[in-house]
Amino acid sequence: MAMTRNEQLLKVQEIFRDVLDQPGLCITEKFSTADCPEWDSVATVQIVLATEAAFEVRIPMETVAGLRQVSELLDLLP
Amino acid sequence: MPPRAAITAIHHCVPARRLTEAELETRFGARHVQSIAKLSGIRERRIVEPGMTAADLAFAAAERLLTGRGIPRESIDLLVVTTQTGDYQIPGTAFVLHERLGLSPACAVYDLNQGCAAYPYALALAQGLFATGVAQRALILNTDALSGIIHPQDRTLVTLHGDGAVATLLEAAQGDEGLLGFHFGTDSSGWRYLCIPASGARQPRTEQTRQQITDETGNVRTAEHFQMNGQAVFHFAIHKVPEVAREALARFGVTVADLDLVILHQANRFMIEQIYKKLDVPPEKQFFYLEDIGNLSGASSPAVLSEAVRQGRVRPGALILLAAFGVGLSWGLTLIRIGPQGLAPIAASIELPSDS
Repeated sequence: MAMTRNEQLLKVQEIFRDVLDQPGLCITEKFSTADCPEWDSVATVQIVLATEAAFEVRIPMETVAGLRQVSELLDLLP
Repeated sequence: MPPRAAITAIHHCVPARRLTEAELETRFGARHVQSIAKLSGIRERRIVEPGMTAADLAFAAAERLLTGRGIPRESIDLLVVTTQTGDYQIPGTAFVLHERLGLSPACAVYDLNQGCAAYPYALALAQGLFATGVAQRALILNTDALSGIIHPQDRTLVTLHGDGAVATLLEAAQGDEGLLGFHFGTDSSGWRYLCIPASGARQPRTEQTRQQITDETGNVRTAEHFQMNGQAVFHFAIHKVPEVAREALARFGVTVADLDLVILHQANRFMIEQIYKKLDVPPEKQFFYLEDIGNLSGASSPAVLSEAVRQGRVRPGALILLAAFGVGLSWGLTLIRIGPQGLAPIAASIELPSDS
């Protein structure tokens, strides 16, 4: 059964906590690079790779290039 | 069978000036520098002092190789220079170096602006000219000094890149050694991700292009500086390089088990490790050369080969897969068989002092 968007958000949240090394981090769909100085290009790469592995998807390069907000990631998940 | 080119000597050269971690932490703050270093594996870079250019590095590498091997200048019948940081827009740097090196009027000269994948492209060009009988002894010079086109406050690019040059001598293969195959490709949908926007006819330089812009992560640059969308390029490389490496191996009819060494463009350590892992390359066939010098762009992959030779990691008869990728976005792979006599290191320094 396909995951709901909220379930996907919770799974992505685990990835963000791990990559950004912030175990208590709570994210919403609107969470963005502007909210978190640690979310830089290096973190973006790690988040994208972990998301691709967790959801078995390939995120397009142009999306990766402009990725700034959690919702942009969720929009691509199955 | 048409004549084939073989690598018979190689030597690299980096500036003596070191850009250290401590210096960068003062400039950018420890947290940012450490964050990038953790991923990149780069602790120090070599950069040119004002007045020194990529052509100077290439000249030094070439001089040391030709002198070290006792190669007569008039015997070089092909010079290929690859650089993105030439001395002039016109003419190409190859012409400048042809004069400085005292090469023959009968020597053909090519200048390639090919980015990080330059080495296999230059080797393939030379191979074609060996096959057609034009060349019998070629000098390939891969050189870049990106420090001059990176804004000093662009912490991502400054921390990753160093300057350097590599000279490679190609001669006609005598046996089964040489450049055995090539595999190339391009994803031009990503050309904007490695670019200097105001650097040519499309966007002429003006007062406006000299204005400094600070992005949301604090990197500073102008439209006249080199720009990289690191997350896009990184993503491209991690997915595309293993895919095309598998294609190349199938095309060449070999497997990783047949190879002695797999050489990759040294963009950053995490990326290289991911690619090695995806290709199941065991540690003894891996080679890293970026911790003390940084990413040398178009000079990176031949510098790895040159350093592997210096460290005795290239045995006579070795079979090597070399993969380079970057600007374009492009990729190039080549399969190299070293000759039975091996590749002896050039007995010369790899440093170019600042007062040279």
